[in-house]
Amino acid sequence: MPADAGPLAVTVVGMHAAEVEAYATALAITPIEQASACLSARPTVSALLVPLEGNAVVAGDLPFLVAPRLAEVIA
Amino acid sequence: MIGARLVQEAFRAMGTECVVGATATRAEAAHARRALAAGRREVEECEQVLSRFRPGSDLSRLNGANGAWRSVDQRLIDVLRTALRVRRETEGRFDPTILPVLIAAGYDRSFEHLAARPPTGAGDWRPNAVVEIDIVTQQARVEAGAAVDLGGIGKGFAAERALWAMRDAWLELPGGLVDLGGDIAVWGVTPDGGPGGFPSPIRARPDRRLRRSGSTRALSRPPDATRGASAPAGSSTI
Repeated sequence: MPADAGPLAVTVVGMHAAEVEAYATALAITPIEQASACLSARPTVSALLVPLEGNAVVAGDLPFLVAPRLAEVIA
Repeated sequence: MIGARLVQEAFRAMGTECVVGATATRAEAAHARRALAAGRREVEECEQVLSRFRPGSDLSRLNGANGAWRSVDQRLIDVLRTALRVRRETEGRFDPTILPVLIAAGYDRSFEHLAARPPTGAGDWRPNAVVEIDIVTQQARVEAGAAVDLGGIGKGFAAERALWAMRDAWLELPGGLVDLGGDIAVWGVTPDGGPGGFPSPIRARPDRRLRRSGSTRALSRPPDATRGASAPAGSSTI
């Protein structure tokens, strides 16, 4: 699959650091609207995606406590 | 934890700034230092195996084998298995065989030694090069003309390995953190036991058990159920 314009920044969280690093690389070149589909094979992996414009987007069940200010951005 | 603090040590490895940390009381300082030393040692051993900038590393020997099988360290077997699985799951958006393109783009030496130069062509590079692993004989091969880079995924792998090494060195380790330039592995409790540090929600999900993905001793050791924490968590930011 070719690389596309991805988000400005990607943070991926999961149970294994090697796995989430690889998914972070993949999501960095994936359009945000396709991020959830990209993670579909790994339900334990989730991501916070910051687009060039607009609000941050969560893909998957982000398993960490979100600071209040960040929660406002996501909302 | 009453009286606990974060004992940490910073060092440089794998081309980046690294931090290992442990939750410990003053009375546990010696245990914490032993755990941190074990974590740092594991990071350095992973670098020795996985770095493409070290001519004698297992990865360099594999890349230079011109398609032949090579006996390699179990760490390289494990990280290659993860890399190939994610390549398949992401339909090639992540591809560990991208090294020839990185070199053509100018990333031909360790990051701190990079110098600006015009990019060159990547020749007849094509994605999804064949990488084969024999887990029985602990050998691997990369098709002739192809080459593997494990720069990012190797750091994530090393972070988790280092965290387990810390637990092996101090079986009662309350909480630990390994940060390798943004590839972060955490486990257990923070010094204050609250949010904002190690991932409490992970601890609240006892159904999430460590998958025994490796055959090495540290990764295959069963989780310690007595502390309610079952598995490390990883985070990577790009």
